[in-house]
Amino acid sequence: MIPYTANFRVGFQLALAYRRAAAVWVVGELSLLVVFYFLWRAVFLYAPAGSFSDRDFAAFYLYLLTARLTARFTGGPAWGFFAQRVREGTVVYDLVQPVELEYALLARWLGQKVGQLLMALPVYAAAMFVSVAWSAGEWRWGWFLLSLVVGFACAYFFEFLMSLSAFYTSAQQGINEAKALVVALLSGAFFPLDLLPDPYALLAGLLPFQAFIYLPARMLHPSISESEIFHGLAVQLFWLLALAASSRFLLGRVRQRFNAQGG
Amino acid sequence: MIVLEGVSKRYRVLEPGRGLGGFVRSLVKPRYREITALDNISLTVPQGQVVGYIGPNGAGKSTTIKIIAGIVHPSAGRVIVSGRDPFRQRIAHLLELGVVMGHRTRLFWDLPVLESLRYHAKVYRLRQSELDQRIGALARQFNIEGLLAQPVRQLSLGQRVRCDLALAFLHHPRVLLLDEPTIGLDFDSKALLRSAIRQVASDLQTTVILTSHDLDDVEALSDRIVLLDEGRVLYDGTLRQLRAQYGVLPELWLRLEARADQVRAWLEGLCGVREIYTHDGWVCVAHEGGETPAAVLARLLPQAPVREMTTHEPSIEEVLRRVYQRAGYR
Repeated sequence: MIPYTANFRVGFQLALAYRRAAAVWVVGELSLLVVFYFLWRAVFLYAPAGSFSDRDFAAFYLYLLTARLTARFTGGPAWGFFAQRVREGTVVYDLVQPVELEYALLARWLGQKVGQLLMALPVYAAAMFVSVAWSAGEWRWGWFLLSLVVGFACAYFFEFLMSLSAFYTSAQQGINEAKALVVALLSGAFFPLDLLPDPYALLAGLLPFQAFIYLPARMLHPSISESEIFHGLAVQLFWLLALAASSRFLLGRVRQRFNAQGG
Repeated sequence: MIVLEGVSKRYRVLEPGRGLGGFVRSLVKPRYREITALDNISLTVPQGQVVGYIGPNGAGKSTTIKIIAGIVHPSAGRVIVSGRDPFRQRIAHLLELGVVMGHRTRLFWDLPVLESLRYHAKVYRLRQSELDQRIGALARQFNIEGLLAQPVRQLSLGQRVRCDLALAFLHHPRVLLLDEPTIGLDFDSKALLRSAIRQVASDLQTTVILTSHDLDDVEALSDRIVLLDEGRVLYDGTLRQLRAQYGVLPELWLRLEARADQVRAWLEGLCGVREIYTHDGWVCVAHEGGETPAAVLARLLPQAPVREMTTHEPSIEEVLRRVYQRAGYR
């Protein structure tokens, strides 16, 4: 266990080392929230009966705030975990660590995310307070936090799987751009997935991306039922197990075929 | 102890097509070429020995290191390191292994050096009580005491490599793989590193496999050298044996009033003398080293006054050039 807590600690320290980047990100994110506020406010002016998909504007904006906070916590590195390290050859140092690589990176990434979140949290707390998010009720916040952690783990293992592609192909830019687009559209980072028309909502429901942001963010919906909460968590746990098992399998394959030709 | 038995490594590389048409064809129907990086290598390295593993680019040095490290699987053969299979007993094997690649760092770029050392200590399951004492000792040996609080990004290359080496020794590895540890360093830094590596490896009885294009590193550190060429072992033994085997011998140059045939007669029967010839007023005695030069002088001084004298120890580069020339390597 100690190697993994050491990874968590290093991740947290790295987050603090990059605090200027986090500050810039917070400014960008605040701007996005302001733009979203006015954009959706305008859309809601034309909504039938002032609501979309069972959400009035306050509930809708609460979802967006929660989704952005969740996205902050579950979002992966833009270039994956390994692309640069495979190119530079330093991935050899990852592979000679006496640890299970996927769990060590999970712990480090969690430490980094907790550090980032601590820096961004005051902003979100203020935004949520303004948008009366506290009316969601204490019990729902508990489910949200649990779902957030499971969503983080799902997103991590998905990112880990995608990152392993760096051992097979150097076309990482295309892969990362496609991944970012698909995750942004199908995870619920910018709108609740239940807004999608039926065939698309069905598709989004069959994919793992909903587990990263939509399902955790939905936990704060004012009229969510207990069965919806449990169903959401069950879906998340299913994807967590599937993605973790796939990561383990593919990492084993990568170790088998790793060549690292040249010095 | 490291044992390699009949280890081979082959892999396929994509053969790119010529021109735009060839490029498109290779997308549709890729063609591969098989490369043999290692060809039936057998090697046994006893515990505590320092082996210089040398060869031209592409000879298979780094591939061997990665196979011993357990990160590249051999296509054939058997690898045992400290009694373990590096692939089946991966974690136990890696806990006793150190790796340093001189041109790449294992330290966290944005954190102070001390944080990387602490992290490394935890990952290698060191107790807190051992940690401070080990860090202190290695910091003195590698002269990094003043660098521990600095972020790695602020270090010079020489400072960074010293820290990387201290990190590699922190968990007292039984086997240490050094890939070009002094690359890009100035003379002073190289000297400091060589002396520190030699000292620490000897204190800890660490088996060291060293690859380097800087043959002074190899000469200064290695008990034994293994020469590779195109994935095959060309020579395995000591540098002295190699010199003798390939006829690249130390020479004693003397300016004295005598012809070569006279000198030959005076030195006849003297143990260790291999060749005598004259050049530009000098007499050259090629010998096998050791006490031969003193014996040569003892024979010659009563016969003819020696006006000047110099010695020439052939560099390891000269020896290797001769070896690879004979092997047909260009």
